[in-house]
Amino acid sequence: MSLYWETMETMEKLIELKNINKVFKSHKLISVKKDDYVAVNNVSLDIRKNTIFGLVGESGCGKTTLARSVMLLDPPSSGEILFDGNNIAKLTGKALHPYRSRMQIVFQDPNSALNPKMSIYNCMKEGLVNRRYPRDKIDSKIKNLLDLVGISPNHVNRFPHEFSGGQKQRIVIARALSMEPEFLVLDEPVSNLDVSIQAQIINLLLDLKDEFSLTYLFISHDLNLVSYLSDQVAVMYKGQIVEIAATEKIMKKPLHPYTLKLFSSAPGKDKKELYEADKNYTSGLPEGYTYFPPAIDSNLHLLDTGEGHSVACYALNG
Amino acid sequence: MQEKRSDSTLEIKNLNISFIQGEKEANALRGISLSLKRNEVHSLVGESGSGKTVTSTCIMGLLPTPPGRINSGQIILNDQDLLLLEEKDQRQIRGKEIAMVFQEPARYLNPTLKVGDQITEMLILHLGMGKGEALDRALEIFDLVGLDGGKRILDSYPHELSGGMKQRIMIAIAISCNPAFLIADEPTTALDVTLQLQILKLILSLKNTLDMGILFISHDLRVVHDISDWVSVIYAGRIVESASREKLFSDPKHPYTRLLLESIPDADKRGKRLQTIPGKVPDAEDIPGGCAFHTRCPLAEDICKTVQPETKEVGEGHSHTTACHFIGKQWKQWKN
Repeated sequence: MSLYWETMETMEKLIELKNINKVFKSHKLISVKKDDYVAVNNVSLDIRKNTIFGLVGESGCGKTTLARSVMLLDPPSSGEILFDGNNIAKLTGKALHPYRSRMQIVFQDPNSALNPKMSIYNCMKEGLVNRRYPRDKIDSKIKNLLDLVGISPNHVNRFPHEFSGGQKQRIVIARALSMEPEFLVLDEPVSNLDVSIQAQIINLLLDLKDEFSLTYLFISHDLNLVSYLSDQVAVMYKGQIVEIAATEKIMKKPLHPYTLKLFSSAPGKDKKELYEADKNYTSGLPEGYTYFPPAIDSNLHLLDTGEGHSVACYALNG
Repeated sequence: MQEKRSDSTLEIKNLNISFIQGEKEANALRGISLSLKRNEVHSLVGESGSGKTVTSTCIMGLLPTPPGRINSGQIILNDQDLLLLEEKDQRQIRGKEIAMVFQEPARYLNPTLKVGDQITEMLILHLGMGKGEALDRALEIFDLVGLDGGKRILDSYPHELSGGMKQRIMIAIAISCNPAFLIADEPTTALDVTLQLQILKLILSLKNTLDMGILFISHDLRVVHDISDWVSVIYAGRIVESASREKLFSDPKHPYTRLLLESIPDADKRGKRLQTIPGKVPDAEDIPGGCAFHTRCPLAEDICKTVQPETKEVGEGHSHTTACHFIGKQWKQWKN
């Protein structure tokens, strides 16, 4: 057993998802379609304190829906969300209030996450006022936060359009931090940014994580980025998690054919090794086995292959 | 210099373009030289606002003037300067000799026309085919770009197709008249990784079968690494470094290229901080004097603020050029 997994296993869990489903009902009255759309299908995972959990998959696979479910922006249709041991999935209104500020989200597009008609000051003040933060301390709090993310506190009365994309993303991060969260969902926070700005934001996120002992759920389609950042990676395909493992393990030896396909598609890698692995893998498959299940199958469960490396695959489940 | 490379056929020489907005003048391109050979992928890499797309629209003759203004430069194809041609003659070249694939296929396909009408339009216009003949040819091209279900696709509207299919159709339309050169402006940016790989493979195979020269515009150095023969790095409207792929990725000379390459996150860099480039790309309206990169460069000294570095040869046999006063100089640990 690797040392890494041993330490990982002993770490406290901050978020536990148990059999999360998110179903979007079709409107029976007007729509011709009678089928409900299952966006997230039976997802279970643990996110440990002060780690970065990477969630990868192609667009439309349900990454963002899962994140919104965890945040209770779109509450899950069924399943449990344990936040620090308490099930919050069914909470609403006042009961949910204490948890709201403990988890925050940073969206992909900072342009639509900031109200163009509110100055940065007002934008950040809103959350603090709702949180009943002492009024006389709001000013200094906002200035400290902006300073922390590298925005000059003198710019506090400017409007979003006066900032560049990278700066806006910093402001969104500062706003999320103003709630003093423990858990931060990062939904493709750098994919709209230029290469040189990306690195700045990523370094900032890493610094903030260490400073405030944050836990991240990092959603991305950039495999190189996820493999750089995360401690654990989950691969999502058509609403299901098909593989979860520690980053080193999944990079070295991806087990699910879809993971393999995804990883070997990532640009800029020396692909030789992965293609080799691909070959070896296919050779062990039963005859007539198609590349991966064409449709989602809720009977297919994640199977632990040891050291926290789980995979959902017909060939491996036997 | 670049023009000494043999049998190049599309030459861009010292192109200088600015945009006029009232009193302000934005210098979008400040003397760009590129050369494109057939059966070669030449990548143009840069961040947003560096002038990549202005270059491609200008080659296609699609640059709106005004507000754009071509101050100097030549684009030479078959001994003709494309910039001097009349609109009517330009139209003969656009699509037929040089074709273009755009970034967002959804935006460049007409949503109100069937795919069949859009792909045959060029065949009828440029090659003088009849409708029936053009449709047959369209099906052949679909085979070439790996779209199956030919007839059905001809009969669909763009919204009925997936993003990957739309991009294949864009490529099909671009190559339908068998152009000598293809300009691909971030053709895979809007696509997922698995689709991206498919489209890149397709572009490479078409390059070989049709003997095309491709100008591949991208901001993603990893994609560029996979596809290019030759790479030029553009910063604030100037090419700062140009080299064969092997040279550029193994031995980059310009500090901007070096920093860019180091700033890419990768599994090998786990636990280390990423190299960053402080600040941001300057606005075209407000490009710093001297070397435009000096405000963000760890090597910058006084000379960089005033004197614009010449493009110098650094490799043997015209294989590597760069514009920097301190080529290859090491910097001390650069603060992030």
